[in-house]
Amino acid sequence: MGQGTANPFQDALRFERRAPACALVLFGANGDLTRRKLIPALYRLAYGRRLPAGFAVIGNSRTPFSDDSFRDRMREGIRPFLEGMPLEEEVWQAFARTLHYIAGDIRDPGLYQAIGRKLDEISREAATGGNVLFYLATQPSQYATIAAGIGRAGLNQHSGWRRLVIEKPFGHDLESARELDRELHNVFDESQIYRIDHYLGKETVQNILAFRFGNGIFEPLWNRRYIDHIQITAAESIGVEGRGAYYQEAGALRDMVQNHLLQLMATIGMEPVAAYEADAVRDERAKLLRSIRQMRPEDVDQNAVAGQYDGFRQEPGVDPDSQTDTYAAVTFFVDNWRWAGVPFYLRTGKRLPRRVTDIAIQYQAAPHAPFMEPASGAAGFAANLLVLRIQPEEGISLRFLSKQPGTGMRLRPVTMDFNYGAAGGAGAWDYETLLLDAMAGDSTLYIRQDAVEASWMAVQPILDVWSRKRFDFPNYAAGTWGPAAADEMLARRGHQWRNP
Amino acid sequence: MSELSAEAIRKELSSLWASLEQADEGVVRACSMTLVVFADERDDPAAIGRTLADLMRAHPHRAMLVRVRQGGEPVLEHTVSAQCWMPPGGREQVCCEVVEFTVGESNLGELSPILVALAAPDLPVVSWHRGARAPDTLGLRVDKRIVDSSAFPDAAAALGMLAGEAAAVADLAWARITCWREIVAQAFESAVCRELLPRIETVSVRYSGARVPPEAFYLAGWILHALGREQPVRFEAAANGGRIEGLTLGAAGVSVSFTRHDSSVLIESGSLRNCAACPDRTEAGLLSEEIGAMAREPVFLGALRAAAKLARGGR
Repeated sequence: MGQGTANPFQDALRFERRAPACALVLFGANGDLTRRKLIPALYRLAYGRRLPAGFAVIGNSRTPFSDDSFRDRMREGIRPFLEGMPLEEEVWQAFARTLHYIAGDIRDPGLYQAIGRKLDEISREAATGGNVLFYLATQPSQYATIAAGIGRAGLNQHSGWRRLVIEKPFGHDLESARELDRELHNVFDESQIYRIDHYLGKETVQNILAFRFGNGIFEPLWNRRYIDHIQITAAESIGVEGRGAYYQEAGALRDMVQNHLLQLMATIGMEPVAAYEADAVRDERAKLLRSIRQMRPEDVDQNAVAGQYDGFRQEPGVDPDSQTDTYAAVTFFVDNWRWAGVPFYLRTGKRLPRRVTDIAIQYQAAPHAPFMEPASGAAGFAANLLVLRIQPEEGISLRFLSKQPGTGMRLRPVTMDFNYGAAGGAGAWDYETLLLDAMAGDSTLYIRQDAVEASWMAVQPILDVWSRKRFDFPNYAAGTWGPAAADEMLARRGHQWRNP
Repeated sequence: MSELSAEAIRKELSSLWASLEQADEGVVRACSMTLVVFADERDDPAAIGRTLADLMRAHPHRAMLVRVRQGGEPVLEHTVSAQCWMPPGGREQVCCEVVEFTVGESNLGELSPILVALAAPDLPVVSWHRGARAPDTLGLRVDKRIVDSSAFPDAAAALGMLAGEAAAVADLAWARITCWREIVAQAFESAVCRELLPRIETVSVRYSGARVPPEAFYLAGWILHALGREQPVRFEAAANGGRIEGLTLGAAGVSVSFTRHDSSVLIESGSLRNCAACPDRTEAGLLSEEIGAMAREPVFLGALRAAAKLARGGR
């Protein structure tokens, strides 16, 4: 029985999926993302027996740590982020033994030589087969430098697999996204690059595909013949929370719409796939994004609204005259047979009334109403509404009309609710899912470069117009649903925002 | 004894929901299956209640708890109630129905049409036979019957009975070793360990207790089924208290050993040394795993046959 023999003890029906033997090289190991998300996710994978026996982490940052002090730091740092999972001493000790650390400047070629030597040592001792996942939990401005360092040291190619994971933002506009891509592709080919949008790792976002393509009754109604419009909302009740300096360089359109919201839109609007395979799913998402109609400069004011909450300019690190959008609402159209003429309204903002992310599919009213008006008398209230709730109360609800109890035939809207949590929805964390996928070579939930570029192409005309414009900010009060102009944008087409 | 009908119970359930819906916060009804629990009347009702409450969070269901009274006069009594909880971040309570029957062993058959009529339509039906109870469902068609062979006084008889069942059966003793199986599988992901597979000569399972528990027979049976060959197995008594204390797969001059240490398992082979969490699981956790695996499982069936054969052999 040789190395290629399958493991006879596997039981796919019972066991959770597990990562193959590999090493993870973590740049930015002293940072917030590592402490809050990555190490807790790795520990949870270890606790759940989903990490392989042959596994190791090499952390890097400029701060000098020994292996032991790095392990101690990670142990203390992750405690608040385990969300109820026990920090069991023996499991932690076994996991901690896989943690290693190399201090160094990412501009120093010696760093990559040292990482290479350590990887060779790990490959021998932990039998990782030379498989390596490079995870860049650093400032995006450092991606190209690190990729080049990896390439110069020859760490990007090996008989084992080599992969690179990067976090958004992927550029700050279309041109910089392409430039970043060129620099990454000098070292890694597209199949080796895993671009994270953690929204795609959420159970409820994956559930959209299950809902659409696992059931036969919805897809026939999923098109322009039956759907009036779609609203996608990602609202936050908090402000920039000390990230003012970063945020004012980004803004809501770049920080949320260009990536998370457009990925949700692509998931809602994509065509069915023949098989749930990485390239098939990503092809369809990318096709949808490429079908988004590009706005002409003269259309931007009618289809995009920027907002800034009152008080943003007083946040630490924020320019008192800041023109940054803390709210963005956009109307997109998709030029294909399925969606022609159906507006997709996307909005996101900070300091809105509540934290909520959902997708509302507003169906057209019945073609003929033989009954009296609904009790509310509001015509818009009558139509069917399907809401896919992403967070915090994950679930699906369908609003329809039913007879009001009593004599006569008056109708009233009622809601049929499916609560994901009520049906045992305590699933994996998004970072657990995404890390496991990257180690397993499953890129379904990662974004391909063509989708990145298509997303930038959709928002670039808005960015161009907004960059030349001087807004009369602030234009909405904290705790409200955004500027009045956003309401007017929908009212022009006879629609109105829901209160999610 | 008053006449009891499914229709009367349905009306009580409707009244129950009406009263719940009048509460300040709304409630969400949840039901993804029917679970019929057969238990002895003397079983701790609080323990069963906790198990059902925990299980409902993962698998919301209509629970029909049948508490069987041994001996005495015929009896058939019932109560209806709701089990509710607030999901994390939720604004509405989630509620499931619980119908509890107390029935005499001598008139158990009277319950049969009521159970059939009360099973939630168009959803799977699972029966759980708590304690040393044969998986008789009183004529109710079920998709899976769950027992716990470790509750039976004779493991060989229990495993033999399950191996002889044609319909879908499940055993909590099997779910109890999932953690061990995952850890063994994880160790053999390593090419170094995998090379040992054709050379394995000895399989030793260490257990605690007076007799070899079904979990130990399952673990050994699963190993043999996976290796695809007959092989002698040594069962060794240990003293610590977990049902399974350890497993060693040995070849000439080398071995892979798995040793329980509190709530984790230490894996050792040559220079390889690792540790994996393997905490004790609640009854609800075990049931949840079995309910989550409704498909026919060749691995379980193969391991069950091998385990029953080992148990018949005595050691």
